Amino acid sequence: MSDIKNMLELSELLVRLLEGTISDEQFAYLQHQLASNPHARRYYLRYMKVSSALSRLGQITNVDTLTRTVAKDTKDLSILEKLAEYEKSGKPVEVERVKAKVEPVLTEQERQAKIRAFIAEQQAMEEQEKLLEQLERRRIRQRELRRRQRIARARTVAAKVSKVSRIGAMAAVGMVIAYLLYLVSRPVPPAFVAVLTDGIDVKWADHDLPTEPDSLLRPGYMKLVAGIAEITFDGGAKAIIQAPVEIKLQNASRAYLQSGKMSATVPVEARGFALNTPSASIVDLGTEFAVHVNEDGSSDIYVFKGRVSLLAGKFGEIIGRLYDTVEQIVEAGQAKRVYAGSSRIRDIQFGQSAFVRDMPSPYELAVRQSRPTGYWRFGSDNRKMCVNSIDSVRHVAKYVGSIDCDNHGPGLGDAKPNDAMKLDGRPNNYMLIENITSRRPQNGGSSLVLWLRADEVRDQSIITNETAEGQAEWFSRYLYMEKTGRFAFIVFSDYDEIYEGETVETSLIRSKQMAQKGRWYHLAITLSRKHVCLFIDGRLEAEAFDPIEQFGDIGLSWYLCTRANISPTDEDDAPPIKGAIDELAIYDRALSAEEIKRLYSVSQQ
Amino acid sequence: MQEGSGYPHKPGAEFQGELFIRLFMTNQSNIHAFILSLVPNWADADDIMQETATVMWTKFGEFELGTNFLSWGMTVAYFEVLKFRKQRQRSRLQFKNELLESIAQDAVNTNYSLDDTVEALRECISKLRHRDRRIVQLRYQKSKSMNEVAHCIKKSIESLYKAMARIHHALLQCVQRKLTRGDIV
Repeated sequence: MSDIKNMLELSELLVRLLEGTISDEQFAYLQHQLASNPHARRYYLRYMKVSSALSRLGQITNVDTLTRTVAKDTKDLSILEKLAEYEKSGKPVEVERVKAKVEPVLTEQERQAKIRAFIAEQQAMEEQEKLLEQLERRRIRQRELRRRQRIARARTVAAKVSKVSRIGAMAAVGMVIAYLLYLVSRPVPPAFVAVLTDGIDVKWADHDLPTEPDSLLRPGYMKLVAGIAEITFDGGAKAIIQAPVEIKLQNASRAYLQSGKMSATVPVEARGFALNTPSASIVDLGTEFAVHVNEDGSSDIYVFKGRVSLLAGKFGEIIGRLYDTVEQIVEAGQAKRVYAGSSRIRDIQFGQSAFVRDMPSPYELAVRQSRPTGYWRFGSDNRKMCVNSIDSVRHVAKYVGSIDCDNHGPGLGDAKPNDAMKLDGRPNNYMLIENITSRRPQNGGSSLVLWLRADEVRDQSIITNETAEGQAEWFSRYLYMEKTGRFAFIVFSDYDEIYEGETVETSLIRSKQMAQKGRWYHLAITLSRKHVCLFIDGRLEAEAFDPIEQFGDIGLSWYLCTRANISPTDEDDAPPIKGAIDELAIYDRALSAEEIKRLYSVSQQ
Repeated sequence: MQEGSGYPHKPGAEFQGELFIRLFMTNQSNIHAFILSLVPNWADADDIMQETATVMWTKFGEFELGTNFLSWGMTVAYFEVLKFRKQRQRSRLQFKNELLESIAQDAVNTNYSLDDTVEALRECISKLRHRDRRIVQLRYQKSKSMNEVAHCIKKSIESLYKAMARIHHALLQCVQRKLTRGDIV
């Protein structure tokens, strides 16, 4: 085995063996080697040791399942926490001989009996919850009935007595009724379990629920019909729900998401936060994750940081199937779908786009409400990855070269610092959005909205385009700043067969106002077949009519930004812009002037 | 899941459960490596590990505290391997009985320290070439299948097997060097 070639051959056989793809002949040869060659045997044992270690690099499989089984057998969930602590410390364990009070080993029957008892306990609790809900509904009905009776009685009394005595009588009756009501209907309210820590345009189906920040929340069903609400559980987990959503707060570290979207950030101290859905149970293991319960009851689980334990099925069913429960640990960057009515778990495309993971600024909310097809926020999370927060599949974007973000972005209607993408004016550092060509203005048109800050006033490109193959074809700048500080926008045709490859400018519009160095501007461009508009800070600055009627379609492959010279040989092109860009949004329709005005105005609140 | 208001307090069970988990955590790597030596197939070894863990927990009452948990675990694992082989006796990829016993004997006698191996392995992986490291990450950290990995790195499956053999061998040599030199503290 000293021959490296032999070792590599043996290594390949072992890889195939581990993967189950070794042929019969190869396996026979391997067996012979292991049986007859002590060097090969030693190599084999070391090989399996390293392979075992390799397989453990990214996975926690058996232990988690086992731990859960043990936790359930012993009914001691603190084992999970202790295990988590132990995992963190990673210190070797020295076990002393301890005279422990050890319970007898459970037989299969005894364990099943325990499980049945546990299920019965859970069912009893669920029954109790239902009963409490019924009582609550009855109480509300009775209160309403009494209120009506009180009003009717007051009217009767009012008709009989004079104005003065009427007031006195009403007051007396009111006080008596109020006191009676108090005595009759003063159930001990359930303790608060969470706080509505923030919210934008929050509207609950139940108008009695609070909408103001810092309102305390009790356990119970809540239906959010509009807006976004941030709920911080007393256990420490923070959840953001986006309307429409139906959720039931169960206790300080547990909730039931019936439908809609929720993202959760769970700090270390809140680890173990559990979220149940109609089709799955998710237990946080210290992480940030999001769940979307679809209309059919299936649940999509996305893990952004850390990991979660995912159990498929309704909670009651899970307990019933303790030993064949489908459990998976979902790691950061993974997404799974659990189908309703079955325990099937399937990988789905991971995307961060569909969820609000932090309370949005008024501007972000307004942009989201205007339904862009692509929206890049350049937050601190996106320094390395260029994340489209709307639809990362449809519009793939990436940073090319070295791109950085700073927190000197424009104000977005709240007091929070805002990150922006820095543009250093170098030609090889830029952001590339792909699949833009599908956004042609034949139907509803298209729009582009962004914040821009130029650190110098000079002739410089902001957005340029290239062909899908990555080769520069057009020398025209798409959106740029002239040396006077005016923003200018060119529309051109991309119909090769008509113009034999020539770039044809069909329209050029430029702003009236001249940009100042270091100031943020809100730019918006809208395109339709009949109309091209350029807006700055919510106001129409320039427009052109019928740009496409005459010349056909518009090609909208964009480079964003600093690569101005798409073709290095094109000396006429302007250098890349030096400054910053933020909150870039693209649309598959032409936004109206009112919409653009609103976008800008919410940022100025 | 943590549905309900909590669990009844049973001091003995809690102690037993926690103790078991800790002991198992400490030794599971070695037990897994032992199983993998006897049944060198990822999926089968995982299944057997799962069964072994369950049986160990069920029989934990029989384990005498203070004695060697790893030896006990390997014994349980060995029986689980035999059980598995019986169930799959028609499988074409089973070592002959004599060879299995011989490997088991060697594996038990090996002074395993898988924690050191894992630590050394991490360092060795960090020294791999970028493309090789990516292969390791995709296959073992992201749990992609060989076909998926081949697709990701735009290689044929055959050349991936060759690359994987080379990587495994390089890692093995590197780990061995580190452990021999005592680089890993």
